[in-house]
Amino acid sequence: MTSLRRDIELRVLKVVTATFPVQHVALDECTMLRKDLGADSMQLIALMIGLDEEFDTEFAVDQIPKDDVSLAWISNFVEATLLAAQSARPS
Amino acid sequence: MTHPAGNVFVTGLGVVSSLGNDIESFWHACLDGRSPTEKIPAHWCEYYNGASEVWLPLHEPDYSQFGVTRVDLLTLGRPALIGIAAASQALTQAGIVVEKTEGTYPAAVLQNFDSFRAGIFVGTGLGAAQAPFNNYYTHLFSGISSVLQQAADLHTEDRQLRERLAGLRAHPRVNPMVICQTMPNAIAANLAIRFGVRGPVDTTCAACASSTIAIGKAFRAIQRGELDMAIAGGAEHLSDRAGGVFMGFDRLQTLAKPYRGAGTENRPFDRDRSGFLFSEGGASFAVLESAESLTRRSGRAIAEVVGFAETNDAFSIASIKDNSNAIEAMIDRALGNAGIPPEQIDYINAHGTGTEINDAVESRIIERKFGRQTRVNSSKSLLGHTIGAAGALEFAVTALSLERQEIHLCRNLENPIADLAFSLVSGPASLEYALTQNFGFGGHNAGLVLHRVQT
Repeated sequence: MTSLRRDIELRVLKVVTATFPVQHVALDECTMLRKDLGADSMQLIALMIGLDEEFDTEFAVDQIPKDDVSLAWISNFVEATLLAAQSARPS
Repeated sequence: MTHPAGNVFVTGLGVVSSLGNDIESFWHACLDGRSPTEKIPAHWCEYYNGASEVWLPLHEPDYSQFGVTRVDLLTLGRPALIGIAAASQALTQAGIVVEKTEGTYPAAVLQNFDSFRAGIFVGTGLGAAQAPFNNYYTHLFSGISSVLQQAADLHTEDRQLRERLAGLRAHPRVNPMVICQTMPNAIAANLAIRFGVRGPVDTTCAACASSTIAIGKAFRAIQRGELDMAIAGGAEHLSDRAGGVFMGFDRLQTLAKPYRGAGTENRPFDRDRSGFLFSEGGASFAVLESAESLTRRSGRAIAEVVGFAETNDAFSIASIKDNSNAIEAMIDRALGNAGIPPEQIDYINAHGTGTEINDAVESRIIERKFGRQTRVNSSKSLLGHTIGAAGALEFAVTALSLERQEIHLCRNLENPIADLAFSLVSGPASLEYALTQNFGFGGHNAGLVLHRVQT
């Protein structure tokens, strides 16, 4: 695992724990937002706003699957967005 | 204790204001005559140089004590948040419990009330104007973030310019909830969701008279027997990133100008007044209950609401009408509704903005209708102007004045423009009936008559 990937996972976890009342749930990369954390639509919107703030970028909300996503999926999504933004930046 | 049928009582009050975020600190600050004005944020002057230089900032409460979550903080507008804080205080003081029933519908239930016979009545002048102002800023400046960066890169030696360009940097995204934050009904709707109120959920938008009218509507609905209780008041939050709302009022020449130094600019009813003090915002809510509800719950009343009326000048969108009879007609109707003559009003919590024309017109009407014996003060001399929340905050002041038999001073009133019984120092007062009145842009005039409750 790269240090970038580890950093992303920790920061995603920080945003998720701030958004959801998860003190009684052990989180891992397989944790599902809706099924395991009971996320509703408002919490998912708040999660996206939190991720925007944390990573100072805009995530394409329309790419997020409607049914449910895992924490690993979110970390992948964040990593892909950040890498795409990096490669698009003029050198 | 039983109470006469048809009567309407105030059983709870809550505030979020520049003078305090709970009733006790708020009331003591009023009696102390505090008004902690500050210079407007320096970066607002990057966009605009106005005539007024001061405002009254709002220090928001610790929301966690009102069950507000991070999700709420990220998705709700500021007026809804401060509204929740004020309304929660009012319910707590009234002894009304909101039972949370997570995972079921409705998610909250007002214990011991029929949720369809409970209502929410909210006044707000600009809704959550800060939401579109802030998000339009984001929309513009996030879109040109690469241009700002290129400009900074071209001027690496100019530290000041680089800092100014960095200061223009915006959030990466417009808040997805901006529409739901901006809707004027968002405050009332969020209160209904939070407290499980399923009767009428009403929003009144009548500028500075908004929440006076909102409370009046709640009073009438209970008086007519349609509701057992209502949460009524107002909320307003007026600061935005670039100071756009402040600029709007300043351009209109309505704001208090510099005077003899910090804290002297805001001078309702004084010869040297120059405009109102712009407040960052505030919220105040009251729980109103029917006599039957109060008796059934063995609740405690703070004051009784006995009269309400509203009229309109039908004259100007931004100015009060001199020599109009619309304000006097409103007062006549409010007193008629209360069933008392003007002589029985012991205290008037005036609109008292501190603008040239408002105070001139209002003081003349008070003198004509009530003579020179009725005590008069302006809570805006302390609280500044919170626009749509002003009426509700002043309603709270009026109810507390009746309950505690004290009135606060009219700050900075050194040379009164009329020979009225202005409250020049805070102190005890013998009060049975009081009138609180507000006049708003658009010609709205509204007044509520309150009566002391003997305990």
